[in-house]
Amino acid sequence: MTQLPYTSDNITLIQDFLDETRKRISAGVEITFTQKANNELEDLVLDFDIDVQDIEDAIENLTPDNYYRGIDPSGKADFEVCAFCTTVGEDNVQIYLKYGLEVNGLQILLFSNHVPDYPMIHPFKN
Amino acid sequence: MENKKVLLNRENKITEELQATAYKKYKGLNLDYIEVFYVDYEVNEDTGLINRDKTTKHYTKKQIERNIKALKNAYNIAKGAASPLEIINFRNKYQISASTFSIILGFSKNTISNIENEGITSLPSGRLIKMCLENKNIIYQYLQLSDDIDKNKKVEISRRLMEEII
Repeated sequence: MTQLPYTSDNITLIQDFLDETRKRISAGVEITFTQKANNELEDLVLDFDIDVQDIEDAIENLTPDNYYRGIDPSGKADFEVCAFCTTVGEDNVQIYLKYGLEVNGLQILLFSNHVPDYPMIHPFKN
Repeated sequence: MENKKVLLNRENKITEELQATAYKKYKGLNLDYIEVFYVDYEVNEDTGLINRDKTTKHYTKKQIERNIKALKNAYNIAKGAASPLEIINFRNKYQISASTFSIILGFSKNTISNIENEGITSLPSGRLIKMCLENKNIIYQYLQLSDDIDKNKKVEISRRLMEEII
């Protein structure tokens, strides 16, 4: 996935992505999980007692500071996909979170939610 | 007649909720439970493109919530908790209602019924129940100590519990 350079336009792009996510959730759209995201959530459930609401809360609380990779600037995809690093649950477990917004629809599709395999940088932080 | 749940896929076409046994290995435990899901076209997570030649499992938030309950139940059983079926079989064998069994064990009235319907949510409670199911003397003692069960009922349940022992 592409890492966008840190510019004011790109901060706005990510903020728009997050605003659209919140708009869909507040309109009643529920997050859909892929099989991989489901398998990863099972581990978070058993290891840290994280539940699906914790993941939804984490998504709703994302800011451009949490940005990691995406969005494809070509605009040709069926989903705009973006990856973030954030924390979830009472123990503030750090997770890698990747999801997409359907371009010609309303689906919010979660691809990844797992503890990062390596330290993650925050290219838009500070 | 079977009442199948239906939902809409990405193209707003009606699709059925499916279920299958899910297997998971976790810290040396082999967990299996029934998961619910639906199928839709696969989306490439790097390109964001839909692959209309391949369908994969997808999960709604509500399905995930149900699957997590089933997974936790399977985990607790694997760690020594009683399964809902074991509890039901025990109660049926000794003709004890769910609410009475709850009271005997010191839970609130609906706890056993909730466990039977939704699975074990607490490992300590599940293990306590398992120990009781495997040692009727404990249930017998708890029954005698219960203030909320009338005398006649106590006598009847005690007789059924102790029949095999005698």
